[in-house]
Amino acid sequence: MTDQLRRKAAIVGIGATEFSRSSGRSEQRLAVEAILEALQDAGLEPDDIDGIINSDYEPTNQVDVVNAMGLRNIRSYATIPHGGGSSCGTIAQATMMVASGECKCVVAYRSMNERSGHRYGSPEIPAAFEWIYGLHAPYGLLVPGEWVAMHARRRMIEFGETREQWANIPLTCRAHANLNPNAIFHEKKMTLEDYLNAPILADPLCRLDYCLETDGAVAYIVTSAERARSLDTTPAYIHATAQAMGYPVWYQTNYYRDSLTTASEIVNTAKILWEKSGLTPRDMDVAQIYDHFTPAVLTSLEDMGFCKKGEAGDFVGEGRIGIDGELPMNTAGGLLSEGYIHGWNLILEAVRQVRGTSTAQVRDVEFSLVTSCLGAPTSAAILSR
Amino acid sequence: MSQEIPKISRPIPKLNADTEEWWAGLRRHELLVQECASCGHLLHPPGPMCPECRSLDRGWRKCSGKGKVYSWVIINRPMHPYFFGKAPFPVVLVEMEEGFRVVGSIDCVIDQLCDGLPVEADFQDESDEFSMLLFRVVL
Repeated sequence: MTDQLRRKAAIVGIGATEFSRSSGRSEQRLAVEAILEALQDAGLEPDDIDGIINSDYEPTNQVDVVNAMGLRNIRSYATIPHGGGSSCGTIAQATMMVASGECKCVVAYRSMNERSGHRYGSPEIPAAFEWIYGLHAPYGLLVPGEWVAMHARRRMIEFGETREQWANIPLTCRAHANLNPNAIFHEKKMTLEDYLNAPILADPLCRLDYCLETDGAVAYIVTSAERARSLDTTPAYIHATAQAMGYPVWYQTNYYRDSLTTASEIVNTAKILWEKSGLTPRDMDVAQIYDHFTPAVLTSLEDMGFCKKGEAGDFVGEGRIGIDGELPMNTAGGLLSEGYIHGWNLILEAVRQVRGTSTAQVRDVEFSLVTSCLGAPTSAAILSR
Repeated sequence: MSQEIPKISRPIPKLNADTEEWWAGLRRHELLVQECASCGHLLHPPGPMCPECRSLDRGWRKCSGKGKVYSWVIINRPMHPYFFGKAPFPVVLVEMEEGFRVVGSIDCVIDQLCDGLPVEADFQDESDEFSMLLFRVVL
C-alpha cells in the first residue's frame, strides 16, 4: 500500500545563521534569525506560521520564538525527543501536522551556542550520574566520544578495519566543506597525514573522528504540496520519513545489545523508510549521513542497506562517497566539517541538493536522503524534486 | 588566610530502587546480575520488569566473576576533572561467563588488551558507601 503521506508536504524554505565558534548572540536570537530567513526563502510571512516544532535538547523555548517574532496563529506544537536522533523526526512530525490539515505552515528550528556555551563534549558534573550514565561515569566514560569509542573498537576487531579506511569519511567531508563558504572548515584543508597524526583522544578515536562543536541555528518551513506549488520556490517534496527505536536502546552506550556493530534503531528506521518510500538504497542520488563520529557513519551505511555488514570500510574508499561517486555523502561538509547543529544542518543540505543549489551539487538529483543519529532512537527522511 | 580548594571526587552513580541492590553487591564484593524470578532471564543493566516475560518479580544471581574482554577504550584526554593527570587509562567492556556484559576498570598494561582476554572481577573500594569493578587479567 502506498504511504498516505507520500509527497503530501514539502520543505519550501530553509534558513541558517553563520556557523561559528562564538556567535556573540543569544540562542533565541539565532533561532529567530534562521526562521526569518527560512520564511523569506519560502516567500511566506510570520503570520503564515501556524505550527511550530523543535527537539528536546533545544535551548530556545517555543514561547521565546512566538514572543520574539510576534507569532499569533500557532495552533499546533510539538517537541521531538532523543537529541541527535530527533532531527529527521521533526520532518515526520511536520508532515503529519500539514497532511492532516491541522496546520498550513509549520516551522521547525534548532539553535545552539554549543561551542561558546555548554559543550556536549564536556561532561556535566552533577552530584551523581543518573540512569545508565551512572554505570559508566565512575570508570571514566563521560562524554560521547568516550562512549562511542567502545563501539568503534569492535569494528576493528570484527572487520579488521583500519584508521586509513576510516580516514575516507573525514577527508571527504572536509573536501566538501572546502567548497562551502558557510562551513567552519571552509578554508582548512585536511590530508591523510593530518588524520593519521591527529591526537588520539579516546583510543581508537582521534580528534578528526569527532564532529565539530558549533554556534549557530537552522530552520525550515513545511507546507502542503499543493500550496508549495503556488510559491515562488523549488519545493523539496517529503517523499517519506521514518522514526524508530532500537531494542535495547540507550544514548550512545549501547553496550548491552547483541552487537556493538549493528544499530537496531538504524536497521528499524531503514526498514520503515524503504517500505514507505517504495525505494531502495540504490535509488538515492545523494545522502547526508549523521556523522557525529566516523565509525557511526560506517555502521549507519551498512544498517541503511548501502553495503553489507562489515563492508563499509571498503565502501567509503575509492571516491565512492565523493561528489562523482556512487553515493555522494555529506556534501556541505557534514557535522565533521561544516558544523554541528545536532544534525539539522544535514536537512538543509538535503534540500539544497533537491533544489540544485549545493556548493557540491550532485547532478540530476531525484532522491535526497538524510539520516539522524545512530545510537539513540532515530529517524530519516527522503526528499525529492 | 588560605582557602581550601574543593577536591573533585570520582563521578558516582545515582541509585534508585531498581539499581541499588546491584551497587550494594559491589560494596559486598559480589558481582550480581538481575535474574527474573519467573523465567530466569538475566538482565543487565537491571530494570523494574523482565523484558521477556514481563514479570515484576525480580531476583539476583551472584556471578562467577569470570569473563572475557569484549571491547575497550583508552582514555588519553579525559574531559572530567577527576581524571585529569590519570591518563592514559583503559576502560573495558567485559562479557561475563553468564552471558551479559559489564563496564569496569582493569589492572593491566595497555598493550596486554586484546579481544577475548580472560579476566576476573575484583573490587575496588572508593569509599565506605561505594565500590567499583576492577578486572584482573587471568594468567
